[in-house]
Amino acid sequence: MTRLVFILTVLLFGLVFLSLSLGAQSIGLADWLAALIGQGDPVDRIVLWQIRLPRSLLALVVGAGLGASGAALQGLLRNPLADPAVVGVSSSASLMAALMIYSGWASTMPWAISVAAMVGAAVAALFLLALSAARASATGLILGGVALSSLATALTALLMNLSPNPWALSEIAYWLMGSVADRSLSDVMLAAPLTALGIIVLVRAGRGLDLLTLGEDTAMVSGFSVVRTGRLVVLGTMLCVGAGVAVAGAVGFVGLAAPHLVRPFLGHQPGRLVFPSALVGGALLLVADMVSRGLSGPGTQLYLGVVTALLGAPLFLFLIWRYQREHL
Amino acid sequence: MLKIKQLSLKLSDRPVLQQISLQMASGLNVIVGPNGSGKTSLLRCIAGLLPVEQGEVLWRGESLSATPVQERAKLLSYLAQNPPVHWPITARALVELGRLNPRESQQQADQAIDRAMGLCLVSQFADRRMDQLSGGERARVLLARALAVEADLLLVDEPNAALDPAQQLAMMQILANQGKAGKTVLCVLHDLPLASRFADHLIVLQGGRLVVEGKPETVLPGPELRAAFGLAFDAKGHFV
Repeated sequence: MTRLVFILTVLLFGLVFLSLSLGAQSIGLADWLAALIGQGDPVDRIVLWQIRLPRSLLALVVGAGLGASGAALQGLLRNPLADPAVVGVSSSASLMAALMIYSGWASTMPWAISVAAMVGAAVAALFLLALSAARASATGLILGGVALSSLATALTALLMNLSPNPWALSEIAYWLMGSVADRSLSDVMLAAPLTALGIIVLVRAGRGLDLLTLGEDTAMVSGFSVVRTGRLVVLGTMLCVGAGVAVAGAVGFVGLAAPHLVRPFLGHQPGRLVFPSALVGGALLLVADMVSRGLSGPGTQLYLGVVTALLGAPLFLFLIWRYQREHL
Repeated sequence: MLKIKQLSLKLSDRPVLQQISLQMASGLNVIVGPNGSGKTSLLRCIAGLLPVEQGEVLWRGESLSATPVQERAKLLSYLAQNPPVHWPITARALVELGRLNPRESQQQADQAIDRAMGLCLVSQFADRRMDQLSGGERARVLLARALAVEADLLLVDEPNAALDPAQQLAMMQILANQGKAGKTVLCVLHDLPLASRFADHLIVLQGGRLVVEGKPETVLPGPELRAAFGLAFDAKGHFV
């Protein structure tokens, strides 16, 4: 595991540097290095530090939070198809954030979106936990999550339908497509600590998640509190997804994909997957953001959430197909 | 010594266990009884998965239900009937789940895991995935997880479900060896000939009540067992 974490960390550094060197403004290597250490052309410095760096760091942070949440949710719900977006955590967070934009509170209170997104994420995660406590089957849980997701999406559509002015409507619409473009370092400062805290909480749930492999009875007799493990995952998911949605809008499927990419290397123990999934999630979103930039032409911006959904939906179908084949 | 005093339990107002008093010494103690007689509920009560509403469960003189969960986890180990394995982890990773104590050194844990895997004859497929094992291999790996805890009280619920006769014998031999090594093993079984062959002490439940207990050769042909099952058995547990 240590080796994989090391390799992934190196990969992440590489991707961040690659991401920093790509963009509309072409900067030569020497100028780029000079700008990176705060020297050289002031325009290059602004491009690098105020446009590209926040964007790359946010992709990394948001992706890491989604990857860790996906791994922990899959472990808690004992279902390889769980993902913050699929089971309605992201859409509930989005609904609450859209409500803040709709009501205008987002413009008067800068923290309103973050808090609202986290509340939305927590309510959804608690709902899933209650479903799993009621001994819903793996399919039942996913279906419950899908129903929750549909409800949140419908309510968000209702908000857009009733939006008081075109500005609020377009604001919600763009925001729902998910993006890390045009963000500032203050967004990074908001999301990074919350996400880091969330990942720590999720990693701490690891042993409990491992024991849940054998079901709740065995975990309980082994001295592990199933309730505590559930709470840790809800809290961690709330922090990671809430913070992620607050700064980047709705970005799906990273949480689904990341653990599946780690499993061939580390096996299926859910607890061991959490941290490496965070690293892979960060890498995935960095790549997706570079793809979205690469495909965006002058005047047309391709949103990050659109790219992850386009890449993620086929993956989801593939996983369902494989899952069905293994369990029938 | 496991001592159960006047244990009663109701689940949704239906009496499941009624006034059960029992003592079990080290060795292989086998519980038999018709379906719905309360065997699994008794095991789950001792394991702490069902509340002890009336009566007491004492292990070496101390109340098990009053023991903090983490302390109790070191005293007893529980293997449910057909427990789920939700992820296709390796056999070794599964046995490691019996040894997740964070205060223990890795070396100590590894030794306990190796011992348990050796006892259950599963060391040779440590790296195989659980979904690629046969039913018998899977059952022995699950038992190895329970043995890796190295608790002195071992609760096993119907370990032979869906195993072929050779695998059943292998499973019972491992449990009997644990009993000979000084562990108190409490095992729910359906197969009376196996109980006759391996049990040191046989307990018969019916309708949530203790019907009879004692040596298998005296209990099996007795009138109480005949009344409980509605069939007559010989001393080897075969119905006649």
